[in-house]
This record gives sequence, C-alpha cells and structure tokens, in this order.
Amino acid sequence: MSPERRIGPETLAAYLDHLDRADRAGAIALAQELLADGVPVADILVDLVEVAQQEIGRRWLTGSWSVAQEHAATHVSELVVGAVGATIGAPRRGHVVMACVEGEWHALAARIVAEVVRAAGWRVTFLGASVPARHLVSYLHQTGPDAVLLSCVQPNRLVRAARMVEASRAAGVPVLAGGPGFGPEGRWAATIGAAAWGASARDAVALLDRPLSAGTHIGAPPPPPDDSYVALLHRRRELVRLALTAVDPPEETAEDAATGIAHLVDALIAAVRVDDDRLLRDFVEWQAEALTSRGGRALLDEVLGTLERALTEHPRVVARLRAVRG
Amino acid sequence: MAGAALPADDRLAQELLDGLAEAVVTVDPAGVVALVNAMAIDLLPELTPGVDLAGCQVPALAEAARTGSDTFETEHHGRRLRGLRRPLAAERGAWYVRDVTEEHARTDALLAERSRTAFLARAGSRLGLSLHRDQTLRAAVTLPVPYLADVAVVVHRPAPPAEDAPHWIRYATGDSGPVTGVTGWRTVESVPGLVEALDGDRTEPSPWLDAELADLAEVLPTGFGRPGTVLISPMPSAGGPAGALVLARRPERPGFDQREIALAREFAGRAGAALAAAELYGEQAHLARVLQNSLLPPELPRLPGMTLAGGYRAAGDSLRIGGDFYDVFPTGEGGLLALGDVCGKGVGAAVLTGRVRQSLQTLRLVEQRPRELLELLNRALLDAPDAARRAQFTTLLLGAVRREPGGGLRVRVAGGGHPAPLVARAGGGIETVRLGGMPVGALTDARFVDAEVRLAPGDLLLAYTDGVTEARGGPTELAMFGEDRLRQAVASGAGLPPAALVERVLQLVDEWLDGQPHDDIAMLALAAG
Repeated sequence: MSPERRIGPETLAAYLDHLDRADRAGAIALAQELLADGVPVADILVDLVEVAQQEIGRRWLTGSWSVAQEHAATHVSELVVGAVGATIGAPRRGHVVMACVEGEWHALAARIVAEVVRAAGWRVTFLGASVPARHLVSYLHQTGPDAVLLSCVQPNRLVRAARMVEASRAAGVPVLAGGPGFGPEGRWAATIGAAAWGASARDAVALLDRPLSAGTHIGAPPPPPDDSYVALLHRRRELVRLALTAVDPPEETAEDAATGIAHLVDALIAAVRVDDDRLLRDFVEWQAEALTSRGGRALLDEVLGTLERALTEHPRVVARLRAVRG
Repeated sequence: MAGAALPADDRLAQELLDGLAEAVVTVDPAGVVALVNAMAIDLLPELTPGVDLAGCQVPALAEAARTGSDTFETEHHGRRLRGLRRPLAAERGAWYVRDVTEEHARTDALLAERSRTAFLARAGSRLGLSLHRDQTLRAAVTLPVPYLADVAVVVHRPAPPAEDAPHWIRYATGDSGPVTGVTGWRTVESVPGLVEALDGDRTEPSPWLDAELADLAEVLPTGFGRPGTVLISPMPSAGGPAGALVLARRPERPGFDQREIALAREFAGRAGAALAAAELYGEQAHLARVLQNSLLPPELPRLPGMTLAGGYRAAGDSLRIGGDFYDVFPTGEGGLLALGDVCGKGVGAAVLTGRVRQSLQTLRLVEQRPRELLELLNRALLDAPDAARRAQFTTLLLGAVRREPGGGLRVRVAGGGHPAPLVARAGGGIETVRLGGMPVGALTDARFVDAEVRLAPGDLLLAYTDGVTEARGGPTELAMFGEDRLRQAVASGAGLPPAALVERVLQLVDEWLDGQPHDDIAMLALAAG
C-alpha cells in the first residue's frame, strides 16, 4: 500500500463528519472509495470505523453528545461495516464464533473483530450483542467451532464472561478473550480460564494464526473463588436495594441510579472473583468520570459506604471497598 | 536394649545376627568387609570378609562407599535392595540391607493403578464435555498420547450425507493439534485387524510389518518411521461400532502389556460411547435446527421508500424459538407487515406460530386488506382439524403499507387483541394507535378493528408484543416495564433509524430485567424513507 492510500486524519475527520450528520450514504460512499483505492478491509474497519467509534464514545462520555446521537452514529457505522463486510470472499479456514458477553449491547467493536477475522479467511458466526450463556452453549454443541471469540468491554460484566468461558470450556472449545473488560493487558482473562487475550481485531487474527493446541481446550482449571464471592453473588440484589435506599435518588433518576449501583456491585463481585483491587478502582474512576458531567462523585462514595457497612462479615471485601473510596 | 547384658559369646552373637531378616555387613575403618550375616550371604554373595567395599561387585553399594553416602537402592540378582549405613564405634560401620522386592512391586502396582485411574478420569471428563462429533473425535485421539501411545488414529465412517469412505483423525506427540483426512477402503483392508475392529471385533496387538507400513503410511505423520507395535481396538457403541482406535508406539518403546491393552480397550469403549452420543445429539440438533430456521424471525426484505427493522428475544429456551413472530411481505404498492403473539410458550407455541405465518403467507395472495385478512385467518385457524380441542389463538397486528407521493407512508393497521402500536412523530410526541379487537383463532364471530396511520418522513411506527411491556424487573424486581417506560424510551430515541431504535428498546428492557427470566419479546419498527 502506498502511503497516500493510508487512512489519515483528513479521512477520519470526513468520516466523523458523516457520522455527526447521521449521513449513511456519505459514510458508505467514503468506505467504498477507500476499498476501490485498494485499502484492505481490515484497515478501513480498524483504522477508520473503530477509531471513529472511540471518538464517539469520548463525545458521549464527556456529555457533548446525547445517547440518541451516539446510537444514530453507531448505526451508520454498523451499516458501513455491513457494506465493507459484504465484499469479503468465501472462507477458506476453520469456523470461529464471535459473541458479546451477556448484557453487553455495544456490539460494533465485536462486529468489526468478526469482519476482520472473516477477512483473514475464517468462517465467522457473529452471535450478536448480549448473548445469553445458554444460547452460546447450545450453539457450541450444535456446531463444534474451533474457537470462541468473547468480547467484554466493561469489567463489571466479567462475572458473566467467566460463566460463558466456563460453559465454552465445558464444551471443549477454547475461548479467545477480547476487549478492555478483561483488564489492562487482559490480565483477568487467564484468571477466568480464557486461552488467550487480544486487545484488537488484528490481535484476534494473530491469535487465531497460532496453533490452538489441544492443551488450550482444557488447560488448568481456574482457581476456585473464595466464599465471600459466593456470598456476594447470593446477596447481589439485596445489596443493590440497600444502596438504592441509602442514596434515595429522586424518582425521575431512580432507575438510572439502580442500574449504576447494580453495575458497581457487579464490579465489586468481579474484583473478588479475579482477586484484584485494580478492577474496582478502575471501574469507580471510570464511573466518577462519567458522573462528573452527569452528577457527582458523592453518590459513588455513599454507595461504597453502604456496601461496606452491609458486608462487615467479609473483611477482605470491606478492605477492597475502603481502598477505592474517595 | 541399652543397659541389658549383652552376650559375650561370639557364637551366640553370630546366631542372633543370622536370625535377622535384614542383611548386615560390617566394615572396618579401612572400608574392608569384616563380618556378614546369613541374609547378607543370601542377598549379597559377593561380599565376603576381606572384600574392599568401594570396589565390590555391587555397583550401587560400591558407589555409596566411595561417595560416603549413607543409603543405596539397587536391583541385584533380580531383587530390589535398599541399604542404610550406620556408624559403629572405633570408626567402623555397618550396612543394613533390606529386600524390598515385594514392597516395591506393590508400590509400582499402586502407582500404575493410580495413573490408570487418573487417565480414565481425565478421559471420562474430556469425552463427556462435548456433544459435537468433531470435538469428541479430537478428544479421542489427543487423550491417549503420550500416555498409551506415540500416535493415535481414529478411523471412522461419518454419518450420511457425507461420502461413505473411511475418514481418519490423527494426533501424535509434538503435534499442535489433530490432523484429519479421508482414505480409501483398500488402505483400511490392507491393515490387519482394522476391518475387524470396524466391524466390532478385537484383535491382538501386533508388530508392524514393513509390507503394511506402505499402506497406512498416509495415516501416520511424515517422518514417524516404522512403528514398533500397533494396537487396534474397536470403538463399540449401542448402535454398532462407531469406529476403530489405532494406537502405535515407536520401536524404542516397549510393547503393550496386558494391563495397557485392557486400558486401551476400556478407553476405546468410552470414546465409542461418547461418539455415539454426539452422533445422536447431532441428529437431534440437525432436526431442531431445521425447525428453528423455519420458525425464527426472517431477514426482512428491503422495500423501496421505507426502512424496517425487527427485534426478537425468545424466552428461556435454548432453541431460541417461541410464540412471538413477525413477518414482512412485499406487495405491489409497498408491503404487508405482521406482528403476533401466539398463546403458550416454547416449541408448542412455535409450531402454531409456523402455522399462522404459513396461513398468512397464503391468504394474503387472495386478500390484502388487513382487517378482512384477519377475518379470513380467523376462519382458517378455527377450520383446522381439532382446533377446538387445542384452543390455540394468537394476538395479531397487520399493517398494509403504501408509499405516498412526497416520501410519506400510509399504513392501514388492523388489530386482533394486540397491544396498541406507537407512532413517534418527527417533531416529537408519541401517539398510540388504539385498536383493540379480539384474538385470532378463538371465536368464530370475533370482531377486528382497523385504523389508518400516516407517517411523514422522519416518523416511526413501532409495533411490539406484550413481552416488552410486561417484562418484570427494575429496582423492585417486580415492576413491569410498562407502556410509559416504553413511550419514554421511544421518545428518547426520536430520530433514530428503526434498527437503532429497536436495539435501544431491547437494551433498555434487558437492563430492566437484569438477568431475570422473561417472556418472548418481539418488535417491528417502520419508518418512511
């Protein structure tokens, strides 16, 4: 590829401009021009669509874009991914399944991974956003793929991801984990039993190029979680309710608050599961950042304090909560 | 013994020593054998008084003497000996040597039994993991390597419609994964015992002859060379042999002993049973998949002048089929939309869903007006054999969509007992299209209602099933998602294209449920443009 065909800042700016105006036709035409210029599918998806998506996420996080704007822009990118993906030829390698962890609805990044892996010659089945574990299991037994690519963007979904990894291992299929939800450098992927971790679509292709040895089909089982983990899982809903009562949000924001608290409790359970304070700390910091533009940090500390008081019989959990309080 | 009187009589001392079950050898300060007892003469005849221990004919003991080690263990004249050195007064020393042959054999047998049990346990859990045939075959060839053999091959006949030729899958030490291939019947016939094993008969392990090597060489890894011994075991299953397991060892490795043969047979039996279970599951899954494909919501057609999107989440059923459905049929002037909810759940409901969709598909050819089509469908469903006994009915929305000049759409909507669809206007504001009507297929004189909706460019019509509004969850875990929340969700997504709006509502409902079980959920959204 000659340098002028690379995707530069001007192309990115033009693409973002199409997204800003929810201009489907323009965005697709731009992608098709790049294809016609000989830019590989993977480059368009990763260096243009995905980079633009990160910018969209940033705009939403800082509050400069509404949820609706974000959804509309994402939809345009979905169409672009579909149009670019339609140009990929027939598969010539094994079968890979791509799934988003249950509860994860932002599927664009996963779709990009699926298409990039497909462009590398694999037959890819994209099971979509928020895949329930039991659907994944029945799919694996029915089709016996070579590997599962599992996307997890937010670490609070890690407990569900762990369940899906367990189910895949039980079906004898190795899991390649992807996404920031598995921690910095994917440090929690191995803890929950995944065979490997990749940060990007290109990593996924590289991981699949390595032989998936029979050993990765089983590997060492993840260590058994300690009993405070089981207790927390059991008390999850009760904890959410307690924290919600303590915070006592105005009625119009009660549901948002309940969702946010549930995520925080899930992040706490996940931190216990992988035995790493970093998970909870990163999550709280990320939430605090998201809340700065939409509320305050005091709410978070109130929730953390309530959880601390409710969990006095689990000193290690209390210590984790203390460690992240502002 | 300390403090008791010791015999001063040399002969008595010798008799006492000779009565011991341990061999006793004493050495003088120069390391020369001074005294041996009867057991020592028996076990270590080479050690006679005067022999230099460091140069004696028992290499392990000589080595211990040279290096100053206090213990040794060795195989000597067919017996297992274990010796311990104790210092005596005046720089003399004594070696106490025990015959541990039987103890050793018992330990060996115990360890072998343990590793055998561990192997079978591992095999049991790996073979039990997958219900997929290929995965089971992979486990069957990877498990015996290297424990039982250096290369394992399973020769099997895949189920029809695959070609009836012997297929093989192989795994050898050092391979990164199993390799597969297809061979001819001639190859299989030329290997002694293989045809018999594929018929379910057992043959004894045999050395691999040069003549046969050429025939099965294609199945062995390149560069593997001539195998030492080969053991072929049938893989029996309830429905006849599932395949044959070929285990081969390199020439430098000893052949299969009786215990290993028994273990290999046992393993082949388990692998055969697992393979048979996987085949049975495969047939069932295939059947289910065919059904599923005919019952899952369809890919929506692209119709000019309008954008459509559907969303579907089945209740807790791994088949992902249920009683909610939608369909879109192209018509000359636009399209016909259908969204319905059949009474009941799971496969039973899915079958009725199939019948309703099939009937609609046919009846629309003779009647395109939605309310009249509902009446016709009602009669068709009630007319079905034993319809009364089954008491099955469905709520249904039909919408006949026509393009209008100026880019808008005109939709004639007819309802049979279905939740009222919503219209989100481009300028903001949500309207409900109240219809009512009775469920379809319940009563012969059921009444249906219709209404007309106009969609300007940017307007959106959302039809949904009660699985959306009746999803229970939220902070109290019991509250229904409800129409108000749905209206809010639609309002907050104003201006979104149908696919993004449907996705957004699905996400909100999913968050509301927070992992709790739910009914089938279906949505169909339509916008002009």
